[in-house]
Amino acid sequence: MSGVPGPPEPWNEDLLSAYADGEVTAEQCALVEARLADSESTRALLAEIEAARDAVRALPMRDAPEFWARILDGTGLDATDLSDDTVIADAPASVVTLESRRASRLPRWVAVAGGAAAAAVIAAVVLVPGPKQVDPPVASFTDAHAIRDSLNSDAVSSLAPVALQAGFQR
Amino acid sequence: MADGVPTWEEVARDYGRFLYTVAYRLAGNDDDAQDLVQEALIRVRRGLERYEPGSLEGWLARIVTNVFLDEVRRKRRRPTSALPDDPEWVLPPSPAADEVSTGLSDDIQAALATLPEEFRVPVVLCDVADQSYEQIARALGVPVGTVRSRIHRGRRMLRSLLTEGAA
Repeated sequence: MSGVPGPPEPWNEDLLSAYADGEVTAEQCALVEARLADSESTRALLAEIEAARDAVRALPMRDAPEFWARILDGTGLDATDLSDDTVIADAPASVVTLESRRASRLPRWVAVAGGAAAAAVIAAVVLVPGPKQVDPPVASFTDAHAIRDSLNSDAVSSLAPVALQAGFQR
Repeated sequence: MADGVPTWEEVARDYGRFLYTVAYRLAGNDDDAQDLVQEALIRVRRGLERYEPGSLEGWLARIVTNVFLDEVRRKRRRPTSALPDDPEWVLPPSPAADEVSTGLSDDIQAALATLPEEFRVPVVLCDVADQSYEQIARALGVPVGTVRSRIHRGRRMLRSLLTEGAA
């Protein structure tokens, strides 16, 4: 049915900022003011919100950076810095693109060197084996040992300490 | 300015401080603000042909904001970066180098910079660029109610940060 007002807007704290900024409807304004009249905490909150808003609004304007002067006087034009050919046709001044500024801050060799170093580390971790696996030539050792002992001494006697360590018993 | 449409030179001459101030309050430091404003200038130049006379500051603020949000999204996609060769790139510039220290202004700027982007952007557009909630809603593509909520929550966060800092 037209002409019948909807339900009144419920209270919403967000309305305080809108009220402080003059961004409320007449109905919302009445709602906020009724709330402010009744609630000390709402009045305190509004004061806090206004203080925060005023603090930001009081921040000083920033002077344009140095390159702005070159833009305005038309010096230092370097069309290759611009990323869009359709733009640079009659560009009045030097404008360095975001990408080129990033590139100037971070030379390509840094990225390349960083990548190479990372690859080297990965290769070292993946390719270099861990503790070396030793495969002693057991057969040749035992042959040599047998030959030496057969020539110079009693083989059984010279092996006795080893046998004891190994837990061999007669 | 023919037919209410400014020339690129007029924008650069007359709105340089405005553009840079909005960029600085969004980015929080000079280097990023310079990046933003240079990219914004390029977009301004591209867009001037389509500019319809109205709030030029609103249009410029929207462009800077879009550049800023694009950059935020880019950083989210690629959150890591190689080591820079310029230490100034990493270390925040000292207040003395950045601006003549104004004490309280530094604190407020620092608090502003810590707000998540979804709150910082509408607060900056409202309180630095002097845009209406309706303009901010159009710029961000969100309902006015969302703008109202984000501005309010952003201010509450700011107030809390400034109170904590003062304690």
